Amino acid sequence: MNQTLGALEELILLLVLRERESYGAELVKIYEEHTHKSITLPAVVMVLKRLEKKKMLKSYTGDPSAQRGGRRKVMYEATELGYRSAEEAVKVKTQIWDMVPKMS
Amino acid sequence: MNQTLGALEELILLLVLRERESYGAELVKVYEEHTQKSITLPAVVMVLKRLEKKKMLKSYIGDPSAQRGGRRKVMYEATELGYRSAEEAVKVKTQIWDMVPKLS
Amino acid sequence: MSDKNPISPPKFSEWLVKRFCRKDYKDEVLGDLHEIYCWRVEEGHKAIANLRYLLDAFSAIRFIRIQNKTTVKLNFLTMISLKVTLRTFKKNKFSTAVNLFGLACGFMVFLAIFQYVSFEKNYDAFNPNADNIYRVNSRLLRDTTVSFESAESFAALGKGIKDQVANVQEYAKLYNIGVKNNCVISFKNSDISFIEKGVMFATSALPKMLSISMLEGQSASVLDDPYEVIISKSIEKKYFNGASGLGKTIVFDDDDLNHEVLTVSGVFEDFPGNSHLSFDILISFETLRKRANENGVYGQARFEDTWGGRYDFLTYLQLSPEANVESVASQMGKIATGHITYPEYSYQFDLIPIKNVHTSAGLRGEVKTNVDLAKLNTLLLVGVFVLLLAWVNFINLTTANALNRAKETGVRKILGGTRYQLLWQFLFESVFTGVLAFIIGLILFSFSFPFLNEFLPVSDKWYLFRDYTFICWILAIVFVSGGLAGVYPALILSGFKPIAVLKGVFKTSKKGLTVRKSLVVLQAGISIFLITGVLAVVSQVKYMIDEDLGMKPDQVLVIPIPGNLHSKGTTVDLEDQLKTALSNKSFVSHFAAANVVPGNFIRWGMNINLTNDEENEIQVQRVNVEFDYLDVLGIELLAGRDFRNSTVDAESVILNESATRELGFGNVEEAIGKRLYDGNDWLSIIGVIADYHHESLKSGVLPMAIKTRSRSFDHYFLKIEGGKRQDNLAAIEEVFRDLFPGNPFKYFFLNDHVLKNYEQEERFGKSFGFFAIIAILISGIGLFSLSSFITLSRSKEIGIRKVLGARAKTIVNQLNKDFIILVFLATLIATPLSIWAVESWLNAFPYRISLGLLFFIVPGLAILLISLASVSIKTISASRANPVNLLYRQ
Repeated sequence: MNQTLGALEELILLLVLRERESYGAELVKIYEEHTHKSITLPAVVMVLKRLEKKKMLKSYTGDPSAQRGGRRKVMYEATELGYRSAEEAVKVKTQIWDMVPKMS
Repeated sequence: MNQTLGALEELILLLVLRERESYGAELVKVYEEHTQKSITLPAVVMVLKRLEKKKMLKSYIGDPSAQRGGRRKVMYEATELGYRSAEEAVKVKTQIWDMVPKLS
Repeated sequence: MSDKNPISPPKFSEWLVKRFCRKDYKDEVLGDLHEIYCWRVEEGHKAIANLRYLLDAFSAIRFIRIQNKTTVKLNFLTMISLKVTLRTFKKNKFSTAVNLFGLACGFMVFLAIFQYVSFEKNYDAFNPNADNIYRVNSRLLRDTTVSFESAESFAALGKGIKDQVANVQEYAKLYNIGVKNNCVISFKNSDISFIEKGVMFATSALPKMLSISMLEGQSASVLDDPYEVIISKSIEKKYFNGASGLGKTIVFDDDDLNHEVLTVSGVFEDFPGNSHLSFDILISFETLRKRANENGVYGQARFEDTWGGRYDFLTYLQLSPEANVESVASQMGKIATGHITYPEYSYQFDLIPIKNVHTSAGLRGEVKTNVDLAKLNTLLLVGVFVLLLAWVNFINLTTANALNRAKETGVRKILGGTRYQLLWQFLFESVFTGVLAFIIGLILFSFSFPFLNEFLPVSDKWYLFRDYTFICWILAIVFVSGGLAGVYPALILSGFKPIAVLKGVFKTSKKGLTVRKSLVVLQAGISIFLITGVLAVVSQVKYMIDEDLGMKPDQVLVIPIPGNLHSKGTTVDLEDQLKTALSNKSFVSHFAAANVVPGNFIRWGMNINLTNDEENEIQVQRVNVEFDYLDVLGIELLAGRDFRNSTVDAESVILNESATRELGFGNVEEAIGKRLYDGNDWLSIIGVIADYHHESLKSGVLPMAIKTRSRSFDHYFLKIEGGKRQDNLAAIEEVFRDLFPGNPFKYFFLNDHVLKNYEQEERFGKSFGFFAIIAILISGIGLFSLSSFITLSRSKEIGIRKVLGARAKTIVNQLNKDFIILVFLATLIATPLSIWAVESWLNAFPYRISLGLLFFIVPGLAILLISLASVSIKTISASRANPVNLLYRQ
């Protein structure tokens, strides 16, 4: 578990985990819902590819649909490693956060 | 709250918050304790400066100590904005994590 | 969003993704983008969706890396070059900004001028038959001297030529009644009436020949029958408030007491503004013939059959494509000359392609003022010059900056950068800057359009960009010139020996410096030239406005004679009634009627002599007046008396001073009581007036004869004294409405009208001023870039001087001296040239300013000050610099 996770990587990974499986366009939508920030699709895809390379995600190709202009979509799913990394990353932060004296 | 936090920035911010106030060398130590990863001081200092620029930290110059060869140290402390940003960042992630179907 | 049309993302953005995205990701990314796009569109903001898609597409460029081998290499190189370029920009923020701004200004001016010029040169090009349609200009010669020339021809020409000359497929005639008479359109059962200027009578072939697009009515037969009229769309809207005008009737009246009820047989799309013709209402020519038949034979001959006589008709011929234009024209001349009984006279005709009418020399009877082709070309030259100036700067600045980057170049070379790569980098940079500047120029152009349009009027802001070929052209210019600007620094820099550069021993070539210096002289020279031009134009216009005209047009109100009088009996009574009614008003001091308006050209003339002998004949302008014409205009009577009234003085004439001189009288008193012959009658000279400028100071005073009569006037004149303008106008309007019901009350003030003559010159001055400012700005930038280059290459010298104890002031003076010499040189070269050009422009005016010392000193001085200001920025900072830094640098 030596690989580090970038901030965006972590978030996207978490989102994929939450959805069980997901794809780029959907992730853009829920990312924007969660963070109220906008993101471009290529940025998301970039992160997905990187996570895949780190073996935290795996992908398979779905069926083409009319909604996508007849193009296939690529679905992503977290691996065991992905799950553990996400867990670890969140745990570390919550642990520290719990020790922070609260303001309100 | 439009500024994004990098992964390392978030962690350092959290650590500063936990310690109430802290400085570079101390942060290197606590960082390594928490993550079991090593980090160099310049990296930490870079992050601190960046956070200060984002107005999430403020700094003041502490007293010189013999331990530091008579040099003054720069102490960092989180601002209100820093606190809120950290809270937000952690919350988003724990929220999502809570919705993730757990493996074990 | 309708469900029927599947939502399709913007094509360009999709293409971007396809082009740049990594192949194996392409499908996925495109699919995802498509989906997101659909959501956003469903959220309701199509524009935002499009924009976001575009942003996404650009950011997809990050997937560039692995596509296929060759493009990867190129794209990679592009990316690196872009990065280096942006980095350089960042490093030299100021000079980059200056550079871009100068070039952008150049582009703006060029675009504005180019657009205007091509707009003016492409009049009537919208007509698909334009190449085969010709307007006939006629010329009457007496032996070999031209005695008369006009854009209009006599009645029989079109038909006669079509019948007798081969290859003439069709003819059309226009009778421009709206300009010749005051025309009023009214409606039955309604009080509304309009004065219309754009009224013409047209033969039935005209709509098809001019490709008038009919919105309503059968285009083949709209003007076949008498009393048919077709109107433009905006006139339809004005008259019928959005209802269809087809089949409705309108009433036409003019001040010759013609009165016709016309049926609207068609409505056409407004005739384009970029045509030498302009009309809103076309009445069938058959109406004229019918009118003629009702009035007797004279009319029939006048409108259809005469060869010669009055030149009233714009005639158009459509030739077959294989026709030889010259031979048609010469056949026309022979046929028409055959109809003349006097042997010494002959006709000549010019067939002007309608596309060229607007740029041809303007003759009597043109519908619109023609544009001077030479002026257009001068303007285009100015535009090219300004763009050229901007490019010169661009090259200068790039080279100067490039020397700063010599070290970078050296390092790149040592690290294995090939010459090709370096060349590529510099070329890329300059093309990139060029494109960027072009875009900024386009934005500037767009913002300044409302301002520019005042003196370079064009119908449509993006007129040029409607044309596909032009876009290709301009892109080619941008890229090629960008490349050319980059070649020079690229070759110099890539040719540096790396070791020498790193050691700091590169020499700036003497030759390069000379070239650059002469470019600066050129820039300063052109600026001086333009400033002199501005000064001359502005002071000439001021002179013409301020100069005494010999008459006083202020406080003179002019009312066009109402056109709708058919139910009123004779105009004579009405005129008397109007005069009486108005003279009762306390604020009207004088009242007059005339067939001319000061400020306009006098169309009428007559030949007079003292002896009934043709040899001593002189040509004079003829003016018909009644009542107090001389008093209204404040014209000075030198001798004799004014007219008493039109009955007593029916056979009297008043001459102006020039006429008496031409007739050979020694002084004005001598002429009083003498008799002269005007070809029909003997008239006695009862008075002589001082010369006054009837038209404007742009033309000289011609001999003039004033007669008095009681009909056929065009305008009433009122001299107003005292009273509030608003109240006076209301009172006059009341009288007018009382006497002339069914006529709109229109009026203008004479001094406004007279000033209109100088509008063109004022506009010319304005445009010159604007270009001069841009040129000065650009040459300021040019001097700035050169000074930064020179101070840079002399920084070692400056350092040594400082170390040896020179003061900052001495160094600044030393450096500035070079530029003073350059500017002085420019003044020396440019002043004679500009004085010469200005002189030849001024010579066209009979009354002109003389060039004072001002014109020799001010432009040069202005440029000198501007250049010193821009140079000093650099030299002062150089002289203040720490000598250690200066010496250390190289």
